[in-house]
Amino acid sequence: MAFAPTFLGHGVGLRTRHFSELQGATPASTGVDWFEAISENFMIPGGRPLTVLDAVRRNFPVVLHGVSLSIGSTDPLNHRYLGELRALADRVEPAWISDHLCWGSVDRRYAHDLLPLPFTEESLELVVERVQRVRAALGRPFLLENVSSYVTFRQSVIPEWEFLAEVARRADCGILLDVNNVYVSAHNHGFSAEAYLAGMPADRVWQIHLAGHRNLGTHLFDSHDGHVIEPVWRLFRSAVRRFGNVSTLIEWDERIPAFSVLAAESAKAARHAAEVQGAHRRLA
Amino acid sequence: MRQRSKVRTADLRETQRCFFRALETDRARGGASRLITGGGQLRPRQRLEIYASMYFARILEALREDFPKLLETIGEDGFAALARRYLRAHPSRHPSLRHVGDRLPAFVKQDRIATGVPWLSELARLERAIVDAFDGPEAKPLLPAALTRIPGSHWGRLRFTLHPTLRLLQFSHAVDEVWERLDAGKAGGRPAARLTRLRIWRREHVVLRAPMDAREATCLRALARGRDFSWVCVRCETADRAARDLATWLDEGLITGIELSPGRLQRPG
Repeated sequence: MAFAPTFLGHGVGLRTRHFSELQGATPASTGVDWFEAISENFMIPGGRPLTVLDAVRRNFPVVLHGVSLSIGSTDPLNHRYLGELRALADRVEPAWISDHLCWGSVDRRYAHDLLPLPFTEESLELVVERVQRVRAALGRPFLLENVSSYVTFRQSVIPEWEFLAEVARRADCGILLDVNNVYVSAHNHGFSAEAYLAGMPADRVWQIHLAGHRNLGTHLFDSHDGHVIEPVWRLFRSAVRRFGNVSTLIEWDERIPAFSVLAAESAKAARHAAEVQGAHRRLA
Repeated sequence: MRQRSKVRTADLRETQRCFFRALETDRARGGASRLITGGGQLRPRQRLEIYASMYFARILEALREDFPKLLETIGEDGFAALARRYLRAHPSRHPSLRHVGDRLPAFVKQDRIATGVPWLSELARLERAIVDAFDGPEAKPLLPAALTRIPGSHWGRLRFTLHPTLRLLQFSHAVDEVWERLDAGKAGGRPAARLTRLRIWRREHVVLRAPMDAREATCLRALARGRDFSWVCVRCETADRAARDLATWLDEGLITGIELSPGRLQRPG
């Protein structure tokens, strides 16, 4: 494992609603340290989104986060997609590239969703092989993110956290640990969120996601449409105790608020992390 | 050389096919439920329905964003029903949602929603062209000064590179008027049954459109195919009129390069 991730600080997602106020923005003017761009939104020939991304990149570190790689699909890897992603990465020079531990297409039909995998040896072998090929195609550090899920397959024989850790180890990639997704899936499937964190290899957790979700009564739904709730903040503090200073990002994709609200949520993440780190230092 | 996966994935492939069918149709959810464990407050089928509703909702939202005037014209329920029929006929074949509506204008043309409303597919085609221009390729417009450096005797041999986002469209109804009324927050109404030619392109970050007469449309199509300016002059009957057209196209940022045939390309100054 040659790659040592840089600590980027605390960031937010780059969203169209905030484009006009981000031209010429700096970490000092926004209060955020870095941005994450949804890769597919910028894998376009030209226009305003790319201009804004270029402007943001001049003053901030940027990470590319994809939703359509479909790493767990049994379809062949989409090399045209990978070529376009690589071209975008050559333009943006991201700190790293990430996507999700899921599948989203079969027989070349795309669901545009993050569909869950059965956690089997068959899936594990497939994902490991494909991550290795994706890393070679992109030529950049690559991370896989755990998704929120609502089903468990009867075939599954490996706990999700062991599956993800094993993919990261065998394929030599990083983990983008979505703390909200751990919380949502733990509730929906009845496993321990702390056990999930305990199963993560600390040296592979290179980024953290935080987001809001909704309690629909029968299940928790990963809605990305509100503030991070208190139990997820507590889980985040636990993650910081385990993994130390990890680049952390607030995701907010529906009912997107003013940028100042996002920046405040990011600052809250920074405060939580600093408190945990401070307590660690006092104990040491 | 691109390698195919050597991993045996027969079981996983069948699972994924079964799951995907369950996203698409209620009928397939019974079979797919057998793949899922129960537990908690949800039965396997209900768990699959969460994914099925997300599948449709996400694609519907993308179509709503790309075809806002069509949505306004046929209403929420009509649009959602159209989207369901469209998705059944044309499941998404591209990793990006940007392309999910590529075939909607053609689909609308033969769909029952267009019965008695033949201009609906033209409105959809206009909206699709606007989306395509919005994030189409970049090109710097040619500055008019670049032409002043070329002797008048060579103008007839000039060939032009047009802006890569430029689309030349022809409709049998004045759907641009419906679009404009809706955009102004007014009722769209019915468009006049009138041959309408439009050019759509992007300048800086703004998508522009302008009406064209038959002559102008013919000339721009010819330039796009590589005809030289002498061809335009013949079509315009007078060099003055051709020069006025050229000045308009330059002013609008439609021209991004010139070439003296045979010769070398002049880049924007």
